[in-house]
Amino acid sequence: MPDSYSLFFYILLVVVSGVAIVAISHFLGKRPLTSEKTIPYECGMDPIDKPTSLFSIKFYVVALIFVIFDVETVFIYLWAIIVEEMGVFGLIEMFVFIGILLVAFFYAWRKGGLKWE
Amino acid sequence: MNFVIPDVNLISLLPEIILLIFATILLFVQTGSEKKRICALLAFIGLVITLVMVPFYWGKGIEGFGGLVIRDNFSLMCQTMIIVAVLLAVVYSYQYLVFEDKNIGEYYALTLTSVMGMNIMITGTDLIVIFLGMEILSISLYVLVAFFKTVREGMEASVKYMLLGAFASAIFLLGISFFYGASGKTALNAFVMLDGTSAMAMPLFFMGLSLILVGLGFKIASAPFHMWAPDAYEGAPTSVASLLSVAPKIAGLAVIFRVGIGMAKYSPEIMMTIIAFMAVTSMIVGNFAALRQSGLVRMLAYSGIAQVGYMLISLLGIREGGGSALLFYLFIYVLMNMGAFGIAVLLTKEKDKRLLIEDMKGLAGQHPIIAFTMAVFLISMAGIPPMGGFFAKFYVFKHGIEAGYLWVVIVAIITTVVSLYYYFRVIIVMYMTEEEEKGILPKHAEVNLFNAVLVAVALLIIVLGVIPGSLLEIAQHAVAF
Repeated sequence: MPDSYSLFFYILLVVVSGVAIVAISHFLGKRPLTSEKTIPYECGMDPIDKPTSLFSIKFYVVALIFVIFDVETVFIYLWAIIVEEMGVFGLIEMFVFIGILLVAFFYAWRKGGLKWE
Repeated sequence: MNFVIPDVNLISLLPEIILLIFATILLFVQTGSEKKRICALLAFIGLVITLVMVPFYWGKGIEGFGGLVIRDNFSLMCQTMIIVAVLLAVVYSYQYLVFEDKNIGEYYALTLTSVMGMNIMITGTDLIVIFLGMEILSISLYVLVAFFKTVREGMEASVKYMLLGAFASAIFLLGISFFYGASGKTALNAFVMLDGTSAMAMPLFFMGLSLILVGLGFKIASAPFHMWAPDAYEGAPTSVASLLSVAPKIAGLAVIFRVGIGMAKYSPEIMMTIIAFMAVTSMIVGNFAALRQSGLVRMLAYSGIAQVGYMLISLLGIREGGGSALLFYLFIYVLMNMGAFGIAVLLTKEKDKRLLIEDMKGLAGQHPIIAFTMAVFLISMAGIPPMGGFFAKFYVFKHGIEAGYLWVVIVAIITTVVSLYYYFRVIIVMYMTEEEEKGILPKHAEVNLFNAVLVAVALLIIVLGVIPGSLLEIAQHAVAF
């Protein structure tokens, strides 16, 4: 059946083009590289800091708590489009959803996620 | 714009909602002296309520969310097995978490959440719903594996499990997208509608199917995708390892069964080839690797991989009713594997120390009851009558031969003979070696709940081995669609 060949050909094409891009730049690229060329690209200016520098784990907790509200907002936007058609059912549904998210928020609060010390 | 509210029918998800409520309560349990007992009790009550609900759903086939979720007899049977396994795991956890940990509520909350994920997986009829359940299950288990933050092996195991698990989930998702591309649907019964007319879609469709099976093969720890299992089981708290070795396998096999049923009226050759391959490699890798293990939990992990291989044989005969053999095997597997892990929990004294098979020297002399139950579990796993494991293997092999996969069954029988060595090695260590110093347990371990549970499980295995008829009848009833 010729269709299975087409899939096989597609996979082959993906692999070949993937390898080819790396190989062509390897053979055509000019070497040796200058030190300017080896630094990571950061919009044209010199890098300020190393990418492996450490930062406090607390930022991570704050980011997670932010996600709770972020997701909530995204879903409320979608809900707002069809809230009239959904009627009372939709209203209850959204409050249940907000309630579930608030449980997560209260849990984070109780575990001290909002304290910075 | 007309919005039609789907037929939600919350009744169909009531057990999951109850589990979620109990998990939420457990998250907020305040610190106190009686906390450990209360947490275990709450988790126990939540699970028992969901277990009690099973007979009320039986035979009704309640659908919900516009057919995305169906609580048919098959999913109820799987739900029963999962809850039995988790109830045992809760008892083990109560025994295992002896020291005061301030996060004990979260431990049980995560356990209940993982059960919720498994229930969603087995009741889902849509690949997206199944994926949702799989992620709820996986994320809970990633955290549970690393529950003791100070144990280095636990952290390592969790990271390994999480990285490989996330990779497997991505492959599963890729499979869903191929499947969607081929059929235009994510519902599992889309297989049936696709009746060979659109030959263009066939390669895509097979590709999607094989990727989905790879993702599920990871969750059930079947052989080319088993690498995470021994490390994760060994690094995890032993009570979590017991849960990890049983419950996700039930959910994963249930989903493979559903995929197979969807395929049954259609051209299932490719699926059968993949399953036969996974079964044969699981049996060979699991049994031969288990021969060389010195740690008890690691040996049980490899034996679990081998057991999954046997269970997959029953799925080869899916059109001839192999599902009943699968359910029967799973039920016995829940009992014998949870039992063996229960012994491991009992014997693990320090939470960051490996339990070696050598440590069980002379157990029979000091604790005849514990040694006897362990022997029952191991003999049952080896598949020797009159234990339940014999009939489980018998039905599985019967369905394999009826489906025409004689060579797979021959491999299974040969590897079963191999498995006798490592199962009986433990029994020999327990019964036939003299203890040199004082044994692994205190001399007079009192008769408590834990020992009673182990004896009950062992008795149930023997009873099911002598009179397997009624369980098999229920299993056949459950897969009759």
